[in-house]
Amino acid sequence: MSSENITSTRLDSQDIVGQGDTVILAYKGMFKNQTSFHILNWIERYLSSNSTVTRPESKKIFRVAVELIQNLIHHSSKSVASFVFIKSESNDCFTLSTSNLVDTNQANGLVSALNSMNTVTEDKLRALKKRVMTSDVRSEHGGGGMGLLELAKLSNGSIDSELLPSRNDMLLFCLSVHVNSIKT
Amino acid sequence: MENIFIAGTPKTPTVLFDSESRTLSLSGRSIPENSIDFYSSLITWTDHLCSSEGVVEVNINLEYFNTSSSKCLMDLLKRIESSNVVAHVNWYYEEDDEDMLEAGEDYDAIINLPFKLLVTGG
Repeated sequence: MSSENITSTRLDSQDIVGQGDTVILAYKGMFKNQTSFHILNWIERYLSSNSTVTRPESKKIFRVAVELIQNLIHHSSKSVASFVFIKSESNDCFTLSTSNLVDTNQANGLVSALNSMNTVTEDKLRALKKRVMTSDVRSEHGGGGMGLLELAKLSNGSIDSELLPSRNDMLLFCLSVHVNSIKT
Repeated sequence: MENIFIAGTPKTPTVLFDSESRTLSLSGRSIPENSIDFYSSLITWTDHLCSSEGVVEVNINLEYFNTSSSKCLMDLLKRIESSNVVAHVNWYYEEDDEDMLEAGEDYDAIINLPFKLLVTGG
């Protein structure tokens, strides 16, 4: 992936962008290891050069970006997916959104997992994460199988998801994770 | 037994596993796409070290680690826990980094080894 694929611009017309939101980075394409490297590197440079972002906030955003992008590499390496990084002035938060194609089985599993996380407290989320950490089960891609749990924890449960119809019996899974500003 | 030294990269940690001082140190960041590939040799080395009794010190000073790496760290610490060595873990976290502090607390709660949670300057 060349650096030209990463854009830093304002895209008011996109559905996921609200009034007053700024798209800091948008990428649409195949997600490979090199893609991940370039996007994460770009985000890290943006965060470190932005004096309004605190160090704890910056680290939290970076952690969310890592989990989201690696999720795309594991589950969407053969089809086009997208990643958008937005600064929302109105909600005083950063939003990191991904969309990728999933089949019906994957969609059902994702919806079920996200629904169960939305109903638990922060303490229960932490307890659930500890339980998954100690299990010997790993995802088929060698991952920890706990990416969504980590995202829920990092965002204090501030996650939106949506399934949209797509082509060939596939669904477009849209996931948005909101990281609120942290005042130190 | 050979020592392991691996220089850190933007995705993988600096590793210094020293058989003479029986010290295992990881620092930097651990966010590889497939952490099993990275950690398997470290876990094998740890098994070998822990096959002989003695004191083992583990230093974990990571700025970032992904969930895949967190499972590998758990594997590594469990191997030490189940061996006959006398081990302790120093878990470093930056001041104000609540996520890394909580992660250390979680490992401390799960792994039956003495943990020290130590603040670094950042």
